[in-house]
Amino acid sequence: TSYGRTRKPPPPPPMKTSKADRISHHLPEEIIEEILYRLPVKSLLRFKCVSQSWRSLISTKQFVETHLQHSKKIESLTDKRIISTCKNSSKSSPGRLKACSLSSLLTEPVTRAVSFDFFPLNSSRDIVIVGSCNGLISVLVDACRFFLLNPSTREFKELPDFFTGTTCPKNLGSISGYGFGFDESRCDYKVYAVFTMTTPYDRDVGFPSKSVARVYSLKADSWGVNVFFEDRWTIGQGKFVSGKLHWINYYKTKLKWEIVCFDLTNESFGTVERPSCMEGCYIPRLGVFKGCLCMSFDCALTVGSDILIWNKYGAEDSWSELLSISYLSVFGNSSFTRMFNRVTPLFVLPSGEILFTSGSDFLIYNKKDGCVKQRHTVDFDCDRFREAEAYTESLVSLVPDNIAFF
Amino acid sequence: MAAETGTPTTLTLKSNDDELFSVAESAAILSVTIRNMVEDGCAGGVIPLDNVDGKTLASVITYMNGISAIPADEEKKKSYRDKFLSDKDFETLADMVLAANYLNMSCLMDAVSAKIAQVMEKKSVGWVRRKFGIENDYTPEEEAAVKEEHKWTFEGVETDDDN
Repeated sequence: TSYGRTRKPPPPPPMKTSKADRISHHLPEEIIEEILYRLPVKSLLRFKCVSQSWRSLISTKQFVETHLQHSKKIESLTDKRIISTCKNSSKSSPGRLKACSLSSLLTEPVTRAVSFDFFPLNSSRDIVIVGSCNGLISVLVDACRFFLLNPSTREFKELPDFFTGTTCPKNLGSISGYGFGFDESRCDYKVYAVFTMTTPYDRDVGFPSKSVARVYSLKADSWGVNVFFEDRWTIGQGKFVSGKLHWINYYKTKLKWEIVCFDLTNESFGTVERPSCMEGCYIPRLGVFKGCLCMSFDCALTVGSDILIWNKYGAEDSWSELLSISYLSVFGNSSFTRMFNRVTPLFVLPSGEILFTSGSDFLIYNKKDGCVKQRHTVDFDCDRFREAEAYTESLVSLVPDNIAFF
Repeated sequence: MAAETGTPTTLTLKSNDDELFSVAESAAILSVTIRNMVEDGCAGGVIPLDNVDGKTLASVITYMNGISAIPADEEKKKSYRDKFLSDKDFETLADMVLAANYLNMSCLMDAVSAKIAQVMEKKSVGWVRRKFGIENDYTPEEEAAVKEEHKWTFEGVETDDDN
């Protein structure tokens, strides 16, 4: 060949190498991966178009998991969103499920909420949030239809009918408790639901004679056998922490409350030791904050709320005060109406400030000076009360073969 | 020895285009690669860094000096990193991420990867192919199908300015 004759190395490209060409020879795949882990879900879905290898990389289980780990970090504010159900009964608003970005809520003067337009049942009158986990959200529509959604990828699916295969008289009761979480040992997402015949609030009647709890497994895409239901009430949304769903169980006749839990792995009930300092307190509400279980109490003396957080699940002495808000001092005369609003902590900011909701407001609380700043939002269509929670955007798929997890 | 007498030790680093740089050892050992060389006693003379060019190495040393001058205050370090990277273009960032990887500087690696992601976030598919030098190996039909699957993610994409 000509090379052999002239003993010259192959000629360099005729023109000066463009920078992009040079980079392509240099940036190894593991560095490209490091960069992609830090992109939001929307960009990653778009970049599946870049090439076949990018598409398969972004679709692997390992990538989805590592990406989620990055997004879960507290500093990754851009990967966090707040989902809320709107309870505005006066208007026929187009869409009950709304979301907004957390970073916008913190930095923009006004934050606009967006509807879940991709979800065809978004304008149903009755939507409640069953729970959220790893970017997936489960909702209950019209008190009987369960769905799983990934709002970041706009995937959704309806779960099989809860009542099929049960003897529950659908018209004589209701789904009274529910929850959503992840079973680490089986790498499976699960929805818990309980059907009760008697009205769940009529606790003096005693324990319901006909309650059936079932657990849906995403991997199996079916509801499991009916779980034997002990003498426990699991009303409303169970809070998912440490592989278990948690509720407050209140015995009206004994004037006492306890924390009950349902373990998603072995599908059994239990109770959780409550902090001794809580003896004789009012019935608290449970929440999840920073992945920890927390309890909020209304405090009549200060007209406010105290919130305790369980820093280390299972360790009895690891409860500490997260925040204590006196509405009288913070909101002055308007505090009367706030007495009836629930305080729900949503997110702790890297600065240590705490974002929470009260009524239809988003507020930021600074523990150091006790100041509360209100954040302004539009299009949430929420006049009185909201159910809201923070979730992390993820690529986690609802197709069982591709389930990603930790 | 120098450390015991309190005199700051200085290292000499050499880029792959033969530029020499003096840098305080205390700042240079932010790089695990350099720290290992120092610990192995290889730092007596000039430390050759075969994978980093002079321009990039100068920038990395600016970063080393800047960040090590900040006391243990994560928030201040973060704002220094943000400021340090704020005016860098894609090509410079790509050189930096390679250097950070070679020098084994996890904090710089994290910050530069995050910055590149931030730059890419709203860019078009074509921009990414050009900047990363990636060949489009889809047939037009395949590409259209992948695009159709995630059509909504093409909303709000910036017009390419190639910066």
